[in-house]
Amino acid sequence: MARALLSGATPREVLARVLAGDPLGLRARVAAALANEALFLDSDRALLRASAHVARFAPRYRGQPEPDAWLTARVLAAVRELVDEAHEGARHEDATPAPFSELAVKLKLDPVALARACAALNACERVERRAFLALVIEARELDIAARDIGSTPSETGRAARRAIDAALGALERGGAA
Amino acid sequence: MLRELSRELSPEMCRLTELESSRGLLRSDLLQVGFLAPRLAQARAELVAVHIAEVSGALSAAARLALRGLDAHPDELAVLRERVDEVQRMLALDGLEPGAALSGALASLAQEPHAQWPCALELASLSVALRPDVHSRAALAAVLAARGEWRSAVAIALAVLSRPRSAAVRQRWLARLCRWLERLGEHERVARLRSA
Repeated sequence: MARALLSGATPREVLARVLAGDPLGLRARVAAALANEALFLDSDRALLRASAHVARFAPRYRGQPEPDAWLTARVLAAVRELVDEAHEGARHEDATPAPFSELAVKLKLDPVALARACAALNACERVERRAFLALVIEARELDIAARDIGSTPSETGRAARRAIDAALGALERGGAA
Repeated sequence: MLRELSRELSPEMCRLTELESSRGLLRSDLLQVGFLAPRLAQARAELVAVHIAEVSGALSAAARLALRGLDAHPDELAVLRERVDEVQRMLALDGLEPGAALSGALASLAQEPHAQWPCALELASLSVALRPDVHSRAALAAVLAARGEWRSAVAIALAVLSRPRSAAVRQRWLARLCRWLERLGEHERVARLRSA
């Protein structure tokens, strides 16, 4: 089914196909990628960018690698692109994405500061992001988090600390972040 | 009725309706129409961003090849031409028309001999203007450094390092920055950077 959806159309047409009802399961793939990479991005925007990536590269797809692997690669490329863009925009106060604004209001935080902190977290090493996610956001127990990450409790704690420092550093640097 | 409604909504929606209709997927659910119209527009904006990233990437790669002049291998030139050709075809398929400077550069890369390409600085500058990211900035900084414009290269490195970056990217750019500062004779600054 995936090959039929991807073939014989312009990128715009493929985009319309993959958006209507999510026949390729891109939403789940994006959620899995963001969770696996512990990235702090707007998941809906990531879904739209991943759909756009699939559409743009569909005319080039000839069945190899298998659709599953190809789609996963496209999702990861889309997510990496968004992370890069967030880094570039981290200094521009007018570039704060809407989801950060909404979330920041709920958390009583400055939207620009929140976007900047997320960009700083996304620049951390994957192990640091995973430790931060497990211990700070999900409030999991240190031993359990360390086991899931495949590290020791002390190293997991240190990794989370480095991520916290990066986020706080970005906030403190303010406009110069 | 849905077709009439969608014509009133937007040309984008009209096109979607035609597309779906042709595949026997036309839905009579008006809520679906209301949901898809703005969402499709958002997704199309993302698609344009992906097109732009591809064009920018091709221009950066071309700038690096242009910089190497006669040293560029024919196989690399062929790969680049194929890439540019694909970029142009995809833009055309989606009805996107680059401006004169960009379309002229792309046409030159695809069709003209290497020696007649726009200069490396022009290609790298176009790439950064389209999408200022670490890749396009790296190409532009490399071009500037090759021209001996160390201060401009240093300015780019400082701009890159002023934003959040992964440790690997940061390390790579710090090494570049130190190299270019050395050329400017700023040895003390280099020592400070290396010890930090």
